This record gives sequence, structure tokens and C-alpha cells, in this order.
Amino acid sequence: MRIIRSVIPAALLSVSVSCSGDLKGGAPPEVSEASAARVRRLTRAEFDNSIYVVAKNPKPVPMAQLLAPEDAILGFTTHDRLQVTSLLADQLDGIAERNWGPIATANLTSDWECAAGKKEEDCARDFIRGLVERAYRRPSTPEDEADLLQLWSSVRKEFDPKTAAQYVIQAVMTSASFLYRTELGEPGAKGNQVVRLTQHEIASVLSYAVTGGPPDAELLAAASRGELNSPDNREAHARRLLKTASSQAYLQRFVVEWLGLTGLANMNKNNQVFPNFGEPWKDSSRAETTAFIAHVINDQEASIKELLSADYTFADGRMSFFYGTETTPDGRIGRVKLPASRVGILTHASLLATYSLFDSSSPIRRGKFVLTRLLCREVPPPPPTIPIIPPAVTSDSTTRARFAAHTNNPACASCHRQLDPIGFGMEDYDGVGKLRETENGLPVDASGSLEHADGVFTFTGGAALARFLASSPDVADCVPLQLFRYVMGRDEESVDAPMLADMRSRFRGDERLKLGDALVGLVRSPYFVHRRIPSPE
Amino acid sequence: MLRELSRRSLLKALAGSTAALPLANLLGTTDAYAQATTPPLRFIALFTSHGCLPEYWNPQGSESSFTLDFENSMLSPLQDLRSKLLILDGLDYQVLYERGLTGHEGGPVTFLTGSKVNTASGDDLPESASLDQVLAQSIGGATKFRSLQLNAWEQFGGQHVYNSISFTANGSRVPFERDPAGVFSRLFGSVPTTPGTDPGEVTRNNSRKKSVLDYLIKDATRLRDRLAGAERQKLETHLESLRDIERRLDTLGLGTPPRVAAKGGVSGMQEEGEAGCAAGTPPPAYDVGQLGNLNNMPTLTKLHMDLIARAFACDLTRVVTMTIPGPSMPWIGITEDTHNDLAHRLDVTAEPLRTEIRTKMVKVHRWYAEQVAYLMNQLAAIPEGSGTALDNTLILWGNELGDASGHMNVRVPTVLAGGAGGKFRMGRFLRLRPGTDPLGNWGGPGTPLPGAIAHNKLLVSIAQAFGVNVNTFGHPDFKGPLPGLT
Repeated sequence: MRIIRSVIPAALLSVSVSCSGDLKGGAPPEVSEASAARVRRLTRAEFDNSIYVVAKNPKPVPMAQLLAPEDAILGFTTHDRLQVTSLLADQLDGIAERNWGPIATANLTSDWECAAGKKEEDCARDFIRGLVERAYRRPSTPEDEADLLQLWSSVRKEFDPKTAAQYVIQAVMTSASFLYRTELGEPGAKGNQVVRLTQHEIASVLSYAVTGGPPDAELLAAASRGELNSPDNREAHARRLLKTASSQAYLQRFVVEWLGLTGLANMNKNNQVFPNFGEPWKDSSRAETTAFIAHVINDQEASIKELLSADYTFADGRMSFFYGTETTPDGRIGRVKLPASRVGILTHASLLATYSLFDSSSPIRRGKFVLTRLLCREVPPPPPTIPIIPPAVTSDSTTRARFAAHTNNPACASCHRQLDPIGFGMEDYDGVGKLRETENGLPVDASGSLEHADGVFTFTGGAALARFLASSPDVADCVPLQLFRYVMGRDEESVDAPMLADMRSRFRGDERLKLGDALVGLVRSPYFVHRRIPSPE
Repeated sequence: MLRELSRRSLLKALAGSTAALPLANLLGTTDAYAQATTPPLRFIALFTSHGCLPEYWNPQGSESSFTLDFENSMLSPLQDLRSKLLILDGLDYQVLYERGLTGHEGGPVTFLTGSKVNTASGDDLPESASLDQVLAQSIGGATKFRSLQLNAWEQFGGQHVYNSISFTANGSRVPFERDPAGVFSRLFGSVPTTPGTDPGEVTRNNSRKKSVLDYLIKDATRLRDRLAGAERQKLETHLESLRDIERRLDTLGLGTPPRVAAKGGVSGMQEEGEAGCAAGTPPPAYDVGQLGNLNNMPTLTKLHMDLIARAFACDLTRVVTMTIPGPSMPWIGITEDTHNDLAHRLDVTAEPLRTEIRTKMVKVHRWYAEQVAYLMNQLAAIPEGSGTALDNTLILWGNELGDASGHMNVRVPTVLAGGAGGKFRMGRFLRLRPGTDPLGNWGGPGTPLPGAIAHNKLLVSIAQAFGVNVNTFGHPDFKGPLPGLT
């Protein structure tokens, strides 16, 4: 695996002046090496999941979709390079001022209102403590309190307590301490030192890893009691959280990003070539895949085996007809059997259409998808000498024949020898994933092969490939790595090997290949809760 | 020189003074106060995709006497604006050939950065900042918004190379805005729209917001001080964004002409008094579905361009990037996929298909050229000094490919437009390397591309025109400005 760190020379690491001396929590680190200490900006989804807790709103209000989108690294939007750029800072300011600030001020009235006879400063301090603990996912520090009290009183000079409360709320909601999750350990560590994360950092890193949201009351209480150094305790919390709706939504997003299905709403096809294609088809095929993923995550314990091998799907009348299978009694979306030509999500029309071109299938895209997303293999970009032009669509040959040409070009062959035979074997599905036996009146040749760890698998047709992949040990090793990238927000490094081994052995320990087991392996690992302080320059 | 001043020391200098001394001074640009008397120079980078047909793209005629009015001319909508054009033939994305990846992905990445493409993240990213961001750092401090990034229509999702041409120093994409209503409220939202608004109320509101910002800066600084290296950089970026907001609240903004810099004044266009400055009507609110509807792209493009003009008229920003994709253009009868069905098939030899495809490609580019003309005319309608805002604007219109049929990143169609504040001699068609083809003698990836004209030189020239004193831009291989522009 290629590992590139942007090597930005470290500035002198400034050591905190607070001379508490020894590390609170006391216990020495359990490992001698660890990944680098860091901060992670909340993604838009994490923002939605976090801010409603600050506002004590009964449930999340999806609002962050209006914010500047994340880019994807390694296919995932959860990466740790996210920043607060000028545009995002303005947008967050706007959301706090117009939306969440007023909502939270109303919701928190009993928190900031001061009963008669109490000193306003005491009331304000209590309000600030609670607010900070929810927003910063840790107890408030004297600095937090002093600074926010100062803000409170500066607004109070001219305005009522409600306005002061709203400005304090807005400040907290747009602060760095809210927007970044820290993985730094206690302040005061030296460069190169391996430190244990604080108890509250462990609570956060665990909660965001399992639910994409902040720690709940139980987890915060466990942190306060210092219980999160124990792998068993971390596992118990993870297993508890895996049952929540937020964890399910988080894992559904993983599947969508892992399989590259984020663009289904924007798909565009030439409907001269694919008469089935149009807005209704796009909606139906997307609804099918969305419903199926939700079913696997929510009702099948997030079993990847089920995801890849199910002999059923969730189709409306349009998709049933498209697949040539039974339909639900009322034609609305519901569970139907798949024909033998299809198995699991890899043969969903939406996925096959995603890995196709505007007016034809694409053996290259499909081959690359299988290699990179399912087998975690690297496909280098084409050499710069090669213009990347798919062969033109013609009416007198097959896609396979058109694409076969470059496999014969020696400059392309070394990579395409691996890529193309996989995609060629899926040629029994056209550019929108419709089963076909002929193309332009010529018989379709869907024979293919796949090199895997133990040899070469030869097959005919996408369904045969999907069945093979569903029970492939290579895939079972790859999924935990993809999940690691999604959860940790970065590529793996050598120090991650033991943690990945734990994820894989737990994941493969159950033949259903459950994502939750891989996450348990992750959160139990000592490497999950330690970081190395970067060395000063 | 920019490259010799570390970003951090710049930030420190900036952070050290509450008045936010303009970086411009550190970098040797014209003094910001001097700019108050002469109209400021602005920069717009426009990006459209798919390459061109060079024989139809390039003007006919000589350097100073050329026409765009001929059969199949792709730039014909710009015929009347020739005196404000500097059309460059023969500019190459040399760095892509000598340092890695060519093709579609490389073009948008290197267009404004001059960087090679780094694919290590699994994504195609540059290794250094784009020109707009460097200019934003250097001259953006004089206005409320250092720069704006706009997108007419989002193709293939937010991170696709076609949508993003703006990058920060660590190679991350600068997010763009695609909703004109959002841009409007960001630009003009803080300005009281009702004439009778109590200025005291505005001042009190600003002072409350200042108190919030004081806290945000303290909090972010505390976190920053615990970090080193790339992690620290994240918080530096955050602090920069906060200081931008702070600066906007501050009525002593550096770009404000002295006569309205009076304390307590509302910074906003009513008081700035420039002839063309008005917020105008807010654009209609489009929901996510409507923003994603390709049929709305022509309207969205115009709305964004109107906002660029208004922002310039009110001197709210001086740096803008805008990407205009175009997977197909049903409004001019192009229902095919512009990329796969037109650009890829320009070398089809069978007639009448060949003519049909090439004619459609001409229509696509004429539509793009019409948008550029529209933007130029909007700017030309804003009186400024003895001329118009267009006279004091430099538009760089670029593409990711050269000849579309070959999909090569050489001879990339590039147009400079506007008066450029007199920095460049406009009204010309410049052949940079007539009759040569660097690819003819190229030994393959990583070897020199002989006779190529690196676009980095153009980036250097533009940076210098804006007072940024650099001799390289992006990849350090390519030195010096592009001869013949001035």
C-alpha cells in the first residue's frame, strides 16, 4: 500500500505552560509506537449529529447538507484533512446565527434563566459548564469558563440575559473546540512521546467511530469514572451503540461511500442507447439499492456476506420488470426474489450503471472497481503517454471487442491484463445493468478471470463473479481495511498493522462478516487509544 | 519572494497586528491606500472543459489584426470585444508531461496551480496553492472577501476535477458555492436592506459579533498552540477564516476609500458611493434539486456572473474563480454527452457524422464564449474612474485539454480578457510557438518536453501583474514570466 504523508515540516511543538507535571489518568502507555496525534474537523454528517445534542433538541435536523461539501480521499469524505475554510466559516456563522442559535436558546431556557435570589454569574457559569460539556465532549476548563463568562458579560452590558445566552451558544457552536475532535492526550507531552488519549477523548473517538456522533451520557459517565482504558468496557459500549439508529445510518454511509454509490442521483445515460433510462428509472434503481443497504445494515446485523450474496432485493414494479422477476402485489417497493442471473449488491442495476459510461458498459471501470474497492488492490493511473480515450461506440461490434484493442497495446497491457478480464466477465450486463445476451446483434462474450491470492478464478457472467467475491477471503480482508479508512479518516500505516489484524480476525471470525465485529476489533486495540506526539523539527 | 517567505511567518505578521497589515506590503505590492485613488485590479479565472478544435478556436489574421468572424469560429461571440482580448496559442501544461499525469484529471489541477498532480491520496490533487488563493492572500485583505469560488453547475459531485480549480497551500480543494442566492446573502446579507435601519443598532450588533469572534479566536489559538506541523496548519487556516470575518466587521477595512472610513460607519454599498454599486434584486432561491437540474445551468451561469459584477462594483472582492462544466447542453440542442460523444469523437472520419460532431462541438464552445462575452459586458457596464470595471479586470479563461480529439494537455486554449489595468497589451492574438509540436520530440513520461511553453510562466506573469513578486509559480522547474504579454 502506498503511504504518502504530506511532510510539512513541524513547527516547534509548543509545550503547554500548565505545569500539572504528571499525566492525569496516570497509567503508562501500553504501546511503544502509535499513529500521530491529530485533530479532526467534524464532517457535515457529524456536525448534524453533534449540534442537536448541544442544543438539547429532541432529534437531529439535517442542515449541514447546505454547507460546503467535503472532498473524498480514498473514496471517503470522512478524511482527516478537512479544514474550516473561509466559506465554511461564513456558512457555520450563518447557521448558528439564523438556525441553531435561536433553536438552542429556546430549548435551553431553563438552563440559562436565573432563579430569583441567585447570583447571575453563578447561573451563567452553570449554564456555560453544561453547554461546554455537551459541545466540547469533555468537562469545561477554567479558561473556557472565564472566556465565555467574559463574552456573557460583554453582551449583558447592553442586552438581556436571553441575548447573552444566544451569543454564548453561537460562540460555542462555531468554536474550534466544537468543530474539531482532538486526539492529543493530556497537554504537556513531549515530542515523540507516545501518549494515551484522555478518557473523554477515548469516549469521543469511540463514539464517532461507531455512530458518527458524539458520546452519549453513558459513555461520558464512563469517561468520568476512568473506565475506558479497559478493552472490555470499550467493547461493551461499542456493542451497545451498534444497535442505535445513528450507528446504522453511519454504517449505511460507509457502504455507499465504499462502493462508490454517492452519485446515483446525478447519473446520466444516453437514453437513445438505453431506452429504460430516465428520471423514473434512476429513482427506482436508487431506491432499490438504498432500501437493500438499509435492510442489510439494520436487519441483517450489517453482514457483508448478506450484502454480497443475497438472493433477494427490494424492488418496485419498474425494477421487478427490469430484472424480469416477481413483483410486489401493489407494485410498490418491497422484497422480491432475484433471478439466478443476479446476486447481491454487485449485480444491482444502480451499481453496474455507475461503473459504466454514458452510452456503453465499461469493462475498465468495472474491473477497477472490483480491484480497488473489493480487493483493496492498487491500480496505478495510466502512463502519461497514453491518452485516456475510451474507444468510440460503434454499431457493428461489441464493447468487449472495442475495449480488447488496448489490452493488446504493450504499453497498456501490464495493467489492463489484470483489469479487463474482470470487467469482460461482467459484459452480460449493459451500461445500465440490464442483462443481455447480444450486443449490436452479436453474441456477448462474458467470459472473464480474476487473479486472487490463491490463483486465478475463471468465470462467465457478473453473477458468477459476485458469488465468488461473496465468499472470497481477499474481500473479507479488504472490507475491514476500507472500514478502517472510513472510520480513521486516513490511509493505513505500518503502525496500524496490529489494529488491522484485530479488525480482520474479528470480522472473519463470523462467517456472516459483520461490520460491527470489525469495529469491535478496532476499538479494543490499544493502538486505538494511543497517539504519538509529533517530534519538533 | 513569496516562496522564500514561509506561510507561517506571513501569518504571524498578520496575526501580530489588529489592523491586519496587508500582506501586499510584505510582498512588495502597491500600497493599499494608493489603490483607493486608482481603481483596483481584479482577477477572474474561468474554467470550461473538453478541449477544442484548434483550427476553429484560434482567430484568423495577424497578431494585432485578427478576426473571430469566420465559419465555425468558436470565439465568434467575442468578435466585438477583440480589443479586450489577448488570445494565446501554444500554451502547454508542460509540468504534466515532465512530472507525471496528463489527461483530463491533470488539467484542472494544474490550470491555476502550475503543480504536478499528486495521486497519493487516491484523489488528484496539486502540491501547492492556486493563483487565486495566492492573489487572495496578497490583495484580498483589502476587501470583505479575499476571494469567491463559484460553480455554475456541479458535475459528477463536488470533488470532481471539473468543478474545482482552487486549492489551498496544502493541496486541499477550496470549496465552491453553486447557489447564487447563497452567494448573494453572503455578499450582501449583512447590509441593512431597509433604508431606515438604525445605525446604532447595526453598531451594537457588530460589537456583539466582535465579542463572539474574540472568543473564537482565543479558543482556536489555544488549540493551535497544542499542535505542530500539518495539524497546526489546519488551525492556522481556521484562524485565517475567523480573521476574515473580523476584518469584515471592522469598519476600518483597508480597501475602503478614506472618505467612508469614518468610525462607526456601516460598511456597505449604500455608503461606498461607487456609481455602479448596488446589491440589486436577490437571485431566486433554488432548492438542491433545481440546482442539480442541468436545464437551469444557463440561468445559474448568468446569475453568478451578475453577482461577480455586483461584487466588483461594490469592491467586496477582487478575486473570483468560476467553473462552468457542461455534460450536455440541451438548451442549444446538444443532448449528447459533450465529453464522450463529441470531444472523444472529433477524429471520426466518416461523413456526414464527422461534420455533425464537429459542428456540435463548435456550438458548445460558442455557448461558452457567449458566457465570457456576457461577463465582460456586465463589467463594461460599471463605470469606474475614466473607464469601466472591465478595464481593471483580468479574466483568465482556460481549459483542461488542447486539441480535444487527441486529449492532450498541449496547446491549451487560453484567453486573457479585460483591460487588465494596462498590465498587459490586449487586443492581440499571440502565437507562442508557431508551427511547433513539442510532443513530436518527447521521449515519454518524466523526460523533457522540448520546445513547450510552460503555463507556469503565464501564472508568474499574472502574479507579477498583481504585484506578487515571484519568479516561479507552482512547480519550481519553470522559471520566469511569459514574454510578450506586456
